Amino acid sequence: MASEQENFLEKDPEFLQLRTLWLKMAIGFSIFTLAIFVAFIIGIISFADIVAARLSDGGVLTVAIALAFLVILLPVFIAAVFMRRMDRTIEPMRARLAKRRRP
Amino acid sequence: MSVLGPDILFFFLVIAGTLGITYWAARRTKSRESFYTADRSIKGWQNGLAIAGDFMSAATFLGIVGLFSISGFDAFIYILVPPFAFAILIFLIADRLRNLGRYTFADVISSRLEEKPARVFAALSTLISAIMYLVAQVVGAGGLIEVLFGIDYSYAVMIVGALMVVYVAFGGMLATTWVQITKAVLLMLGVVYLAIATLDVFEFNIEALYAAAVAAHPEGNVLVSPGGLNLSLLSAFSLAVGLLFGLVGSPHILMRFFTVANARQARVSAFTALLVVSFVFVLIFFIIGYGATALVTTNPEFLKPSGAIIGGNNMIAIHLSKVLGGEILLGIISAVAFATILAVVAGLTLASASAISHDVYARVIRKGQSTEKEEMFVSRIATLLIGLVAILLGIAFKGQNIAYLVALALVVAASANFPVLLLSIYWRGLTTRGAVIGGYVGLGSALAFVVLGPAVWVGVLGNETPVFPFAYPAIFSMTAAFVTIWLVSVLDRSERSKMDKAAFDAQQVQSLLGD
Repeated sequence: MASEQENFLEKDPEFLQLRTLWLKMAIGFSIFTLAIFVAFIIGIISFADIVAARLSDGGVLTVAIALAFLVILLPVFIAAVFMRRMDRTIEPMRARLAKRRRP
Repeated sequence: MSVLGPDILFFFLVIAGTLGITYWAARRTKSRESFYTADRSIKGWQNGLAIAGDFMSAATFLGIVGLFSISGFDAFIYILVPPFAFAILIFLIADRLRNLGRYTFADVISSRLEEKPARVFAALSTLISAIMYLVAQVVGAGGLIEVLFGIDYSYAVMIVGALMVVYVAFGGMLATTWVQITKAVLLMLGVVYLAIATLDVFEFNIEALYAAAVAAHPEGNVLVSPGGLNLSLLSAFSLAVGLLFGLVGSPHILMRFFTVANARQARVSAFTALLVVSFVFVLIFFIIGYGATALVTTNPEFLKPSGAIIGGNNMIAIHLSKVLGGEILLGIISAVAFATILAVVAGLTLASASAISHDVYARVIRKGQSTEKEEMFVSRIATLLIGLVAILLGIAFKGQNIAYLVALALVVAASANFPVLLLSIYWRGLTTRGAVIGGYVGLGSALAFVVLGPAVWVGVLGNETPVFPFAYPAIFSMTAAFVTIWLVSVLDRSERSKMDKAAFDAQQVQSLLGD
């Protein structure tokens, strides 16, 4: 499966740097995003009674709806940051390595 | 309603338009590459729209509005999951999937594992999850036709099934893509119009909209506070996990990433889909759901003598369009919804047919020796068979909530496809034996838990109590899959396992740098 060129790249310092950096970004962003997701799911269930009681008082509704709105948009913001970092850090490295791989 | 009314006219107009696109694209589908991937000619933003179109189906447009009208705020779980799932797709899967695969996600897992067992497993799990998803679409489409034409549900399902087989058989990936793009745009326009029209009724006072919805709902505050689904913390977590990783592991979504030119475009695809889906979901949840509850659930025109909604809760969004725009808007929204279902079905059927024709027939049975013509012929025969199965199961699942059915389909994708796909990309220690045994454990446990759980054991088979108490078993079946894959791989001392691990570095080069 591996060509000699790819065997060479496997040990290339820039390739190893790319692999590490990408892995850190992918796992870091995923854990951060999933943590927010899990927190909100737990929040929906665990605090149902508290939220319901406060909503029945009135006045909290707008805040609750606004929070829910923001939670939906959070992944968009996080993904936008990730996309920008990928374009600025990963893509140039990848382009250089690809050129050396297929000169 | 009149057979010659504007509703029926718009209905046929949209269907004819999408079939025209299919005809146009089908003439350009000459090779295996074009049939499966549209020659990788789709741009990232186009593919993103198509992915959104592939995902936003009866479950999102009809099912979630219906679920909201019953369960209220807890339907937010269904709304919340897709944006997070698309984000995870961007971070972990999109780039590497595109660089490692050619036509199906089985290409990825067999890139360093033994081909035959890996592909057979992937094909089987693809077929099972896709067919369950298909059933959900057929149920929604059958109900829609029943409401529009007033014909029996079973006949409606058969008509829909026949249409979808014709639709798919003549369209390869290019046709499917453009039909999905078209209907995604139409759906966005439809949802925006419905949202504006709903707000207009309440003079753009959102507090008045929510107050009217709460007043119309028998349990009032359930619309603006959690608890309507009566989920325990574990059930809610399991439901959310199943939906999220099920979407990430859905074969028809994964297949779309092979239609773009490179990994960056794959990432752009997922980001575009994230934007579109978030936009539509915000409108559906925060305006249309409340509007439908306020304006439809107490309107005698849409209620049976028993008080139930005519056509079932899944039809509430359709009824809302009639309230807001009369017969003309009803026709437009119904046609958009129907085209949406057909386009989703096209994607699902293409993914299923590819699993049979590419993974099983071409790579396993013919060991890569089949001609393009043979492979495409097998794919079309498979399309026909899948259509027949979808019709039969669609009739059997009559009356089930679409969103709930989709959740079940996603549990299978989450438990079988996702663990194997993720670990095959990221874990050096994965072996063929671990992937296959663990994958089957995930698949088998997901199916067993679903069959023995409340949805099938009680809801379909009529037993009094379920053997497995949880309606959403993803957390258990996914855990079983991951643990089994890890354990079997760690204990695997075979010669093949050494080859699997040795190939990891070369796979990393391919997955990071691409072609």
